[in-house]
Amino acid sequence: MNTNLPYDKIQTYFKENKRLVVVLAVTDFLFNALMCLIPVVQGMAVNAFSAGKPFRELALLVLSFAGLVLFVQINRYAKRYLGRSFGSRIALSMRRASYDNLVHTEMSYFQHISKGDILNKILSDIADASDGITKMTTECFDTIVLLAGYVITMFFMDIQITCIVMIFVLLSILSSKAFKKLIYGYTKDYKEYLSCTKDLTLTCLTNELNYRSLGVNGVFRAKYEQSQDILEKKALKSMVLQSCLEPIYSIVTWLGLFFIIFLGGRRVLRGTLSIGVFSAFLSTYLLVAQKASRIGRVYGWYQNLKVSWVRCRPYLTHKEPICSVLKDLPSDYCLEAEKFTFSFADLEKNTISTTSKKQSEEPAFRLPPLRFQAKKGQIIGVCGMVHTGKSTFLAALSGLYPYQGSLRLNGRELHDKRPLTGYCSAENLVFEDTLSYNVTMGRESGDLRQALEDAGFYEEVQEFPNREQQVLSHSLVNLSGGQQKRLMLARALYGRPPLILLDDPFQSIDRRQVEQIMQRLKTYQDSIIFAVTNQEFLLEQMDQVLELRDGSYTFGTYEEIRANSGREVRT
Amino acid sequence: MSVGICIRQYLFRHKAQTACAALLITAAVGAALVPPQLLRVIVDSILENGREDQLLVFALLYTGSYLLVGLLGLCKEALLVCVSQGISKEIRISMLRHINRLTYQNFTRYDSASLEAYFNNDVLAIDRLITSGVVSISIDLFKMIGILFLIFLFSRTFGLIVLAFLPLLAWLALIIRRRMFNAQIKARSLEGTVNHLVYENVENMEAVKLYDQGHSSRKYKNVLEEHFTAVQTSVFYDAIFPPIMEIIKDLVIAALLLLSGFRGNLLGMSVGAVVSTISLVTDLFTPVENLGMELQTIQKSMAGLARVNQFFALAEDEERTQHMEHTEENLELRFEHVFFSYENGEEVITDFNFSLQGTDKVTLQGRSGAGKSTLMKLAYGLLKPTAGRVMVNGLDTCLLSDESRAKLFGIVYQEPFFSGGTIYEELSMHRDIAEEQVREALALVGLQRIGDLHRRFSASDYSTGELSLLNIARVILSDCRILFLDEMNARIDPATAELIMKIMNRAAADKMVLSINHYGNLLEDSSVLKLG
Repeated sequence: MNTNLPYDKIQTYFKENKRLVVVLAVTDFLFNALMCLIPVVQGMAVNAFSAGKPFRELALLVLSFAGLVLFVQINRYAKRYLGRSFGSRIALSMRRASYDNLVHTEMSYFQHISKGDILNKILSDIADASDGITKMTTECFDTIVLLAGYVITMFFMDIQITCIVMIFVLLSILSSKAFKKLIYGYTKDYKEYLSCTKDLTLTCLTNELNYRSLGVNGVFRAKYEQSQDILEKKALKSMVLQSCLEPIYSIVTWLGLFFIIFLGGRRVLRGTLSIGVFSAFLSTYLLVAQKASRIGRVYGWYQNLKVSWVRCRPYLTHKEPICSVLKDLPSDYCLEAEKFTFSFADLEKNTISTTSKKQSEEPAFRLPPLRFQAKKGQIIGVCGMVHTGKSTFLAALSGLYPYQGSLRLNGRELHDKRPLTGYCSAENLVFEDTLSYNVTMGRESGDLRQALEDAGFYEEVQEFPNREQQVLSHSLVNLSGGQQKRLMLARALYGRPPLILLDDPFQSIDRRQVEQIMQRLKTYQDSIIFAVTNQEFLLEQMDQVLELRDGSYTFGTYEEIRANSGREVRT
Repeated sequence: MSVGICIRQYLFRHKAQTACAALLITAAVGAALVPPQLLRVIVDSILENGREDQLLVFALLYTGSYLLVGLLGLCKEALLVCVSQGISKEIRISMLRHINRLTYQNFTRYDSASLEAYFNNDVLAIDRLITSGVVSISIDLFKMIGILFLIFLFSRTFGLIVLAFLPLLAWLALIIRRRMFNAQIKARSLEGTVNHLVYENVENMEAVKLYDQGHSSRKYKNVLEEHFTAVQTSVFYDAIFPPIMEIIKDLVIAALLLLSGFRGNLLGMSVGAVVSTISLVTDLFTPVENLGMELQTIQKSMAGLARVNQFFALAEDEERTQHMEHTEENLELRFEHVFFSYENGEEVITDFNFSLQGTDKVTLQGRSGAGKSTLMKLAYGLLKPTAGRVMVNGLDTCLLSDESRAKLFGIVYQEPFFSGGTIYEELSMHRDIAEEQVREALALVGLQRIGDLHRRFSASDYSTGELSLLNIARVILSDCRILFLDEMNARIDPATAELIMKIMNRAAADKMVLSINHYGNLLEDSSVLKLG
């Protein structure tokens, strides 16, 4: 499969499934064209029977009727199968494309768009859109071509009667358009109120104990009953109308039956029309009536397709990876920052979306322009009070976001190519998969046991029923807070990447273990490690310390920092 | 309470509606049998015998019979919607009444989102069970019986042939449907996995971007492929079902024609009878095809019904009926040998005796887990003591009626709560309170900046402190006699906390007060009770 196709254009899907679409069109056309002939052949057989023709002639007609039915239905099966298959192929391509798109979208995008919205668009809208495209292709044939086919056969049987009864078919189609708007309004009204009552139910349930203690739950139940009454009325308006529509359309078309029986019957009596043709005409007309009452649906599907396609289309564009991995590092390297700064607020401006979350009232937090140098094998401690930007600093180094100023590795700017980075952020991100996958994330080079040991997690893992193959749950019921933290640590350390960023990795871990982990980290001679912590006994052991303050910073050895600030950093 | 009782109650209360619906269903089924009969008469006695004089009347009758079918169908549909909506409403209201009486323990066990699922998805499933399950399956069965009856009228032999075929046909329809259903279930569960993977990867995007070297996307695409294969299987059954039914139907028609034409009419049917039997056979197939689908709907929706019945089976508290006259002068809140332990058996309160009178003010203090909150909940009657009694003027607080509570108790909870109404409604709690008074209360807590009382309240417009202040304004308006304050300044900045204390000192002067206060200032004249 070629992932570079422009999946944000509908024609791509047709091109991609060229052969399938051609066969689909042929079988669909054959089915619809020949379907109209079935009542005619059936009528001929009835004719032969009523005229008392010899059995052989009748048998021949009946057999050709059966043969025709078989052929038509085989085509029908083929077009049904291919049509649906086309739909699931489209969905498959769309889902693949949207996933690639997501993985290659800037991290900042996820900061400002609600995840629920993304999921909605790439899950339900893609399903709706692929469904819509198939429905439109097949229904185009099934309703419109078939309807036309039926009408044409009717013209062949009797022009005058067809002209008269077509008036009723047209009336029915027109009335379906007229009702559409009315129904749309009522349905919208009902849907909106439905979500209102959903909120109300949730409020009643959430506050039940509060209401109960205050003795007001009766008041709110009365409110709820009131809203249920209104909901019922709105539902009736919308649903009764909806369920009545197709019967109404049918009634309008059925009015034409009078002319068929009266005029057609007169012709049969005068001998200008055979009984077979008469009965064929009648059954064809009943089929037309059925099809015509469904024309409204096709229009509805088209509307749905338009809405969902617009919503999911941005997720189908092809995107190139933003950043690639810098391989073949020299044996000795050094990271240098110069006027290096970053603010999450910068990202907001770049986001394409218009639906970004509301602006926060607080002035945007920004890192002071930093200048520092870190060599291979060093551990750099990052400390500071609450809200001085420790986490922001690590996020800026992580390569997930575009930074400002300069950050160079051996003189090479790290905007679009960067070394492998292990980043243990404040959030615990766990996949519902084995523990081993959660650490390796599919990376090939690395030692799982080593990473777990370095993170002080190995012994506990041995006590899990399935050890490294233990499946972790997304809701994290089977891992304690400290275990989660060490899992994240093991993930960041796995494969000993050249740059390791640890955001307060020693949370909820006891001191003995913290000491052990620190000793292990010192063996990472091929990495540069940044670790956020405020614990003095750890900072003392660091090669260098970056102390962030509100709007300024100090960088140096622990002794220099302490001499400079003249006060102890609080734990 | 159970779903069955709700439905029976509804049908019993709407006897006329129920009878009408039943009548309409029968009429609609019966009416559908009329047109083929008329067609037979038209073909046989008018067209074959050349009675042109009657043609107009019969053409009108034929069209009229179709219109009748349409109209009856329309009324039937409309009435069915009425009945099913009415039943859903009935069930939901009974469910909320049940919620009002559920024991406290149930609320610790189920969160509101999972309770809400009962109200929504499961009631919808019951609705489907009634309309597209039970009702349509009985309509279809009736239709089949009626059509068979007519075919028998035309020709007994052909009737017998069809009757013999029918179970076979229904069996075939059921088998294909079941396979399709199983394939669909498999596809749906794989779709669940697909959705879950997307969800997980969006949630954990940071990790994916940092470490993933194409593995997650391979994993996702493998599941997608698997899903695609499962969908293809269900597509196969979905695609083959109608053509097979259509082929069988037309073969039956072909057989009918052949048998009628063979050696002087084996079936003994007139031309008119043959023509209308053809249309009867066509009509017969629709309900047979539907049967499988309807059985599936019933199967699926039964799960929803069972869940709602489970919900109705959750334990309820004793009914709260004890009434206290508001006029009683002297108030006494009394704990008598109170014991309390939670379900896990851990005893939190052991033989607690205490009494507050008149405008006494007491602050509970103690380490966490000492039972401060439990005592508070026992005091305002949310919890029932395991042994002993908690009483207000001799009446058990856990049995106090709603009206008595509403008049006696004012509670400021640790977490402010709101009900999604306007600011006026949030403060007045739907009591009849003059707007002026609401404004005064707002001014008292320093929120006079709120001008429009009838705007929908939105929590995100206010800071945590202001939300607490709104809850305090609500209590001030309630004109209660006993005030319960549950750590209301736990998460508030010191300045606001001080303001709240000042307000409370004024508002609580003439009330009995029981409060929990970890740190910060105490109310004036408050004594401290240390627990644990």
